[in-house]
Amino acid sequence: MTQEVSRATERSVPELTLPELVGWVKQEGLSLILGNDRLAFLIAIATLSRDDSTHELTEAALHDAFGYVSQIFGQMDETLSHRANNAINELVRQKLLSRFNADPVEGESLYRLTRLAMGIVEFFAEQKEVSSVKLSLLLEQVASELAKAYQAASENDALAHWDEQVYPRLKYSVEEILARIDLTQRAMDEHQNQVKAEIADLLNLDWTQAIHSCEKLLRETGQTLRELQDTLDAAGHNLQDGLLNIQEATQGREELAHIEALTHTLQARLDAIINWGQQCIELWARYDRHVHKFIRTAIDMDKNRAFSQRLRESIREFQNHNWLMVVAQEHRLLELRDETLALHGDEITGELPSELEYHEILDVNNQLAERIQLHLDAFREQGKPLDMAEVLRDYLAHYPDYQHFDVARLLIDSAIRLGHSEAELTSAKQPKWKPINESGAKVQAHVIDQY
Amino acid sequence: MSLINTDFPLALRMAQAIANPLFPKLDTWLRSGRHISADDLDNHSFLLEYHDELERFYARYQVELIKAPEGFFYLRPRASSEIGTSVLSELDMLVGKVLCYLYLSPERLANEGLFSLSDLQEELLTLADERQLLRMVNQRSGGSDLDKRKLLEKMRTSLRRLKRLGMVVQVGTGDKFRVNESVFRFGADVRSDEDPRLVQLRMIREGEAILHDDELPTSEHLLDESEDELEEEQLGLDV
Repeated sequence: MTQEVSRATERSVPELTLPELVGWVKQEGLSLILGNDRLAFLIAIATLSRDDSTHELTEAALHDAFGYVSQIFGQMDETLSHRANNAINELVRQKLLSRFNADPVEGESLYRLTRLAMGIVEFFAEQKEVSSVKLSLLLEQVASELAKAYQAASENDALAHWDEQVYPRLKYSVEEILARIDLTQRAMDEHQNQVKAEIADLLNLDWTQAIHSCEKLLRETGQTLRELQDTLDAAGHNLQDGLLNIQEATQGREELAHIEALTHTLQARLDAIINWGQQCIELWARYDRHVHKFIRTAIDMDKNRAFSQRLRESIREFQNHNWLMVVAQEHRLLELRDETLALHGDEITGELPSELEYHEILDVNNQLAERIQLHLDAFREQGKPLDMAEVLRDYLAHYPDYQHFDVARLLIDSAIRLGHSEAELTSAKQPKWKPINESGAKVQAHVIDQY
Repeated sequence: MSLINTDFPLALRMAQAIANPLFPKLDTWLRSGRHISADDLDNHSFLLEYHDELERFYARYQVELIKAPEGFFYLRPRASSEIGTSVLSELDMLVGKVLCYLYLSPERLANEGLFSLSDLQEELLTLADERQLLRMVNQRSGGSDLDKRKLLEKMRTSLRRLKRLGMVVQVGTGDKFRVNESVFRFGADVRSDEDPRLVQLRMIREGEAILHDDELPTSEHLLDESEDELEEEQLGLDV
């Protein structure tokens, strides 16, 4: 049980950053070089070892396998055993074969293919069948595993029981099946690329005749994709529900945090699978549209590909080409900046009528100062404080409404420079709002009584 | 009599065409040599709708508004036109021909009509004679790396020019682009199985092309280049 947990944490810890990973590969000098004949040898070994139930290989068996490869590749017979040893050593060095010394006295060795080698062989040798039937089978499996996990979870809530019944199911069954679905999708990706290449080949041969087959291929692939997606969509919802149930059961139990984390991972994985399926369909639809457009335009414009041929010819013999295309090119408009600027000069705009003349801010300020002076006199003589609201009301009456805001601002600016208010310093009380013009504008200010 | 004569009222449909908000930009584009293909949905359908009116409109400038058999539109000026003309360079022509070939090539289907500069370069080097290409960069080219780099640079310039002419449309921020039907203009001489010479003569007569005289390539090239550079400077175009 503790082993399980530690394995779970172990897996999540070594998340190296990209530079660290690259550095590690460099430091370890990891590399894979598999020539055509080496790959053939590897696959030959795999085929031989499949027949043997023990999956162990003797050196003689490896030499046999190499013999087949060498024969087919037409290599020299004399150097066979030497080359076979080289090849075996190479595979061992590249971690494709593991060597075990079975009998140290006689120096006999046993060999087994490594995980890496199995992966490679599987990829090349196994033609994965992608069908919605298989996918739905996988999905059914996931669903039943999830259901079992949930049942186990609801039966008993002891930690030991969870770690024995729930966690392994999620970790080793559900996750693995999801991985297999993912692989199926990847095989499908490849299948799409194959179809694309096939379509290009067909069109290259004879494009008017190819149209029909192209459309068929497009339709079929699109259909397969859609069926796969429908299956996924239908099952995906149930699976998410199953995961959610288990997640809910773990709520509020800290000792089950690793299981909760795992359900999150599985959810994300399932989402990614469904999303990729959706995206695949969209990408395929776009490709489909493009091919149809190509058929409509390119093929229509060049029925028997004679034009392409002639075009190719004319490119190859470009030295004989003796015409240049003419296009419209309107003379560019040039902006003559000096002249443009001159237009803004005074002599062109002339004098302004006096009504439109700009009021110099200085003039306005002077008038303001005069008014404030009047009120200040009152203060000096009668000790009456300066009430901004009064000054403003008085003053604004002389100006049109639209200027009120600007004028008021100027006035207040200069008033602030004059002095401050006793009340402002001593009390927190807000002064009263007082109306300052006919249109309902109001001002809120303490009287100025300190200079 | 004054030249400002109000006796010729503007036909209603022509007035409609000119009053359309699409017109000013489209007009400027056409005058700067741009081709309008069906990919440019709005402008193209506008041109289809008002083809007759705009044909008459441009005839007043002694320019023909051409609708090519492949469906795209462009202006074809004449010597007497009120609108200026420009001539494509030899390399522009070659690049154009290669693009036309790419447009028709089924191998490129998998990219969904998306090409990159390196696709163009690769195809150009496969299809055309490399010495011939290098000669366009440098008359006495020895095939050095410098010359090859120069060739690539020139190809970029040509591609930029075709972009301005609306034949190539940049996609994204990289060097990916789409090609539209207007590149068929480059294949005009071999479009049918007529004798290319006869076709060329006809094209020259119609003002579609001018004769390329090998005796005078340098001056023309110089003219073209300085013009190109000027254009780029003014428009601040990047690679």
